[in-house]
Amino acid sequence: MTLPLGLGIGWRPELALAIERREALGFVEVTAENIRLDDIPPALTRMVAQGVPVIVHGLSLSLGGAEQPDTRRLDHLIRVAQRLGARLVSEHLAFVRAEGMEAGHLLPVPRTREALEVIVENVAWAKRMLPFPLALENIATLVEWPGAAMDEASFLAELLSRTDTALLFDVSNMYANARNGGWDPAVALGRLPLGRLAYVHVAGGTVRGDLYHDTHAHAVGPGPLALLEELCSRIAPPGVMLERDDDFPRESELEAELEAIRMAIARGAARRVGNRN
Amino acid sequence: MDTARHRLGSMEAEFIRSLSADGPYSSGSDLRGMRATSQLLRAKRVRTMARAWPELAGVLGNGLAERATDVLAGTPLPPGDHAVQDGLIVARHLEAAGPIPDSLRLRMLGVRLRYRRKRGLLVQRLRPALGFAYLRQSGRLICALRVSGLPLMSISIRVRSPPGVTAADVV
Repeated sequence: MTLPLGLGIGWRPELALAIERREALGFVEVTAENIRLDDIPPALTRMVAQGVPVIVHGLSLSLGGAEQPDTRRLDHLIRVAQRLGARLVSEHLAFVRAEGMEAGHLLPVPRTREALEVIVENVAWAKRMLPFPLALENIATLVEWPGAAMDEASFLAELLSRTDTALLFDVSNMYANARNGGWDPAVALGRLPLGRLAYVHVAGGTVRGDLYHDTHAHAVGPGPLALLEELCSRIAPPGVMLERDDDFPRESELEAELEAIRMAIARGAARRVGNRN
Repeated sequence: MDTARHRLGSMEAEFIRSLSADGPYSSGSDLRGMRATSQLLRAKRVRTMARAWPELAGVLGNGLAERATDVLAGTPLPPGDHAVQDGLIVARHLEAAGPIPDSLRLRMLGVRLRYRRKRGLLVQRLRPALGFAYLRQSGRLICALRVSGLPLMSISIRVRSPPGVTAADVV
């Protein structure tokens, strides 16, 4: 099992103490929009000083939007990454605003050839501005645009290939979309360019009505863990991290979640080795 | 490419507009998904606001989500720090409806000192700001000065005794 980054966690102020106490943490991911450059949390500064690798994650570039990404937001992402010594930044294949209206949420892009051309141009432009490699993440969505020209994995694969961009694969997002859309995530996994994989997100969710919601507020369930195992049976991910954004658990529960993720990685790795022999 | 961008922009704007207003949805839309996403967006907006304004939960308790959803309905999500802006809208609504606790009034003062209005939106102040707030519950007038990079400076002057406290109790 090769994990140069190892097992990581999304840094949140509510988890700062638990994260700081944890030994052998592979890396942390920091959300750029939650960081003020004139007021960086001391706990985060201490982690950087201790040499814990940091990945800076953006939420608001709207790379899937019709407008070219906002230079102020891009500049903030770059400055946060520089201050925290990050060597990789990540964003989403999504849009969050259009014609001056904010959604306040990552929304799916229409998967048409015409939209793809625009998004390729946006990502290429952002990459030219960024002094760091960029990884793009698949999002969870409860809604699909009508008239998609290709499936989610193929659309993302073509975008990454044409812009030479790395993949941040969120297994929980794909699990949620597959469950709600009635398709097989293992098949979609085969369409993703796993050779571009930079790292992996895992998070918990819950079922409300007949839909699975990727809440980041519940423990990681068997569905996302099974997909993580499936991924790890095909490739050794460079890094895997837990995302938790609400209903923050006690330290022991957090440890149990990380352990469950570690076990899924190990099971997948064992299958991979078994398949080779 | 300009045409493609324009078309994509129109489609995405219509998408956000439909989700924000909970319809009408364009023909061929994934109705179940659109409705679920509308609910999700509303709930997330209120949750984000509540996290940024714990003082509002102190006033409204379990009724916060319902009341905030009502107050914010029809108000487009503002760009920038929307949780602060949304919270201010709800706080002002409560202020107009009746007395509000000192904690909420102090928070509103803090927001006024940190932000200024520009084209209807809150933007962070770069220059020093001075503000006042009268706290009805404690009968105090607060005068505060915020200078970027320095701790907030304030003085508190007792204007009258709080309700239920006699002059003899006041030291």
